[in-house]
Amino acid sequence: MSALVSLLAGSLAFMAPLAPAAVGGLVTEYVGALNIALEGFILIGAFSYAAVGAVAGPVVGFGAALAITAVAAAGADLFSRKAKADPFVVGLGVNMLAPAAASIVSQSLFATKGVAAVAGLQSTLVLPGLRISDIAAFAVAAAIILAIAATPFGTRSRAAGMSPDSLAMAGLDYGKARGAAHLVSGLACGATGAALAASVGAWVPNMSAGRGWIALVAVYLGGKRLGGTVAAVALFSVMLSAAASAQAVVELPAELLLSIPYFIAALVVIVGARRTARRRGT
Amino acid sequence: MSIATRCRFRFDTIHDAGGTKTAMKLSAALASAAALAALAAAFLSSEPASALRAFFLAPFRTRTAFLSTLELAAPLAVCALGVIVTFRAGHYSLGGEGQAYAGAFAAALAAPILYESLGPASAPLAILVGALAGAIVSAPSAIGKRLAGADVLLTSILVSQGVIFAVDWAIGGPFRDQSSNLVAMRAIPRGALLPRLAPPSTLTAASIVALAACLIAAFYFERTRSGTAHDLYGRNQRFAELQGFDVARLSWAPIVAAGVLHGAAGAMMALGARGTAIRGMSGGIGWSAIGAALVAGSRPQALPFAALLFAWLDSGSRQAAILSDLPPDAGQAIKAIVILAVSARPAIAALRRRR
Repeated sequence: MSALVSLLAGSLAFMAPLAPAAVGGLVTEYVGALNIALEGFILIGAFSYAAVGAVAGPVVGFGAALAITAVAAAGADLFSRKAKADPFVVGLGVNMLAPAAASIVSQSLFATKGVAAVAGLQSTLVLPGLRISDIAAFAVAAAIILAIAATPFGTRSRAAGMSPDSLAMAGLDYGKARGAAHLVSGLACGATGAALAASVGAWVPNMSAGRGWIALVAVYLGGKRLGGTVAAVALFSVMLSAAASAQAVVELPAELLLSIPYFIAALVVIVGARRTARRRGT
Repeated sequence: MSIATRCRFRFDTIHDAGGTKTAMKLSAALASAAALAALAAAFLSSEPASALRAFFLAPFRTRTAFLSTLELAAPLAVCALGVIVTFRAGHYSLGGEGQAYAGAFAAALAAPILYESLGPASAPLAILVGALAGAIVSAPSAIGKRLAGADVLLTSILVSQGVIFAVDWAIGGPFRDQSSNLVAMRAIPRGALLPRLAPPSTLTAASIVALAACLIAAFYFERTRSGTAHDLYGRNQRFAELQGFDVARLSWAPIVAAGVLHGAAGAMMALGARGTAIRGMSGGIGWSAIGAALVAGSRPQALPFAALLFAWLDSGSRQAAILSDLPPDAGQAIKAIVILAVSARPAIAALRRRR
């Protein structure tokens, strides 16, 4: 019983930072933009939380992480649209620039390009495995879910992805819809990054550790639907939690256990694609 | 609509850009890199003059420094060639990092064993072992694409992430050289390494192999029927099928070929200047390779120049970090901004018009 509770608590801890990023990836997917920059935006969020939080405290740090990442995401999309740059290439640039820029700024702010622990930034545990910052991240994810499921923003985003021309015929601007989706996606990644940094009370280089990619995979595994994406996030969280819990039981090295969810996820993608192909009769 | 299908309509920057456009891209990349390096030296260092000198001159000041920069470019060019091979077939594989890392590990593991039985002839075989390791890592994506139509972008990144964890464990665990403070495998015997062409520089035969591979690939894409089929498949699968090309083979073979090239690039790193496999040694080569491929306009013949540009940024920023106080990550940041700069089409179009 205690193992089950521990697994569930661990799953919630993994789910808290993953859920906002996945929902953010879904929003940009709705407008028809493949957002491979989630990983970079998560790092921007994590660093912003640590950098601003070190001066103004964790609450302001959390808000700053959301705001700075949202502006960065909207800026990247604006660049992509105005400069007619390929969104994939822009995403690649963001993913390369974010860790390098964070390292450069970290040297000025924290006098280290490595781990920068900041006193008072680690969020308090409210339940086993669940911190206040995790609840804040869940709240951001829930707010975005509400926005895409029950507001004109969600309807416009989906319409923009389905047919930009129809959107224009309705008098709405595709660029604005895409920009808004990226802004929301940035907010979401900011929450993910802040939750990660708050869980350890520090900035750790490359602390996103592939979560942006897992979030993107969750969007596709979930069939680019809200319910499916949330279910895929839950599945990944349980797998990652199981891998982490197994370290105490199985005599397998941590790195090997951590690699297993990625292989399983790849297998799930392939099996899912196979089933879809069979359904379509191809 | 799948990722690959959407990408195929949009990624005209990733298909062969054409000769003039590629020359413009390379020029734009060089100009923006030089301007950014100057700005970085001016604003990020307290000794701008020393930083500028170190960044711009140190990699070229001596014959040894220049040849060592060439050596840095070799694995990057081979890795970027792998990117071109997959991207031009419309498969957006992002698994280069894990494939190169696996190649480095496999080569470092095999080289001492092969050296015992074959002597100095072991190095090419160790590179083949690295290439095989890269192919094995790419296999799940290739099989997934061939049998299920699974998105290569997703499967390749997932497998790559998993492999990076596994290789981290192998290098830091059972295969670690316990006598060293560095988290690395046992040093490869000197005789098993790639022969140095111009000591004391680190230049090895890898640079010649990389150049030859780029020229062969250029010939393949521009002068052979298979290369035409490869390109056509990347642009329009249905049309390639109607033309009678073997689309079944093209659905998986370029992915494995890229794995081979990425693995070989990793092996070159282990058998070259590094002399072993070090934890985290791939250091973003997979991502830099995508950038180099884009800067080269997806043309293999332009790759040596793009790889050399990126190698200069790495070498220059490293030298500037040693000789002044420029942050060592400045090179990586400049590379990222160069990629963004060359992706902006109006800027390049304006340059062309002015010409």
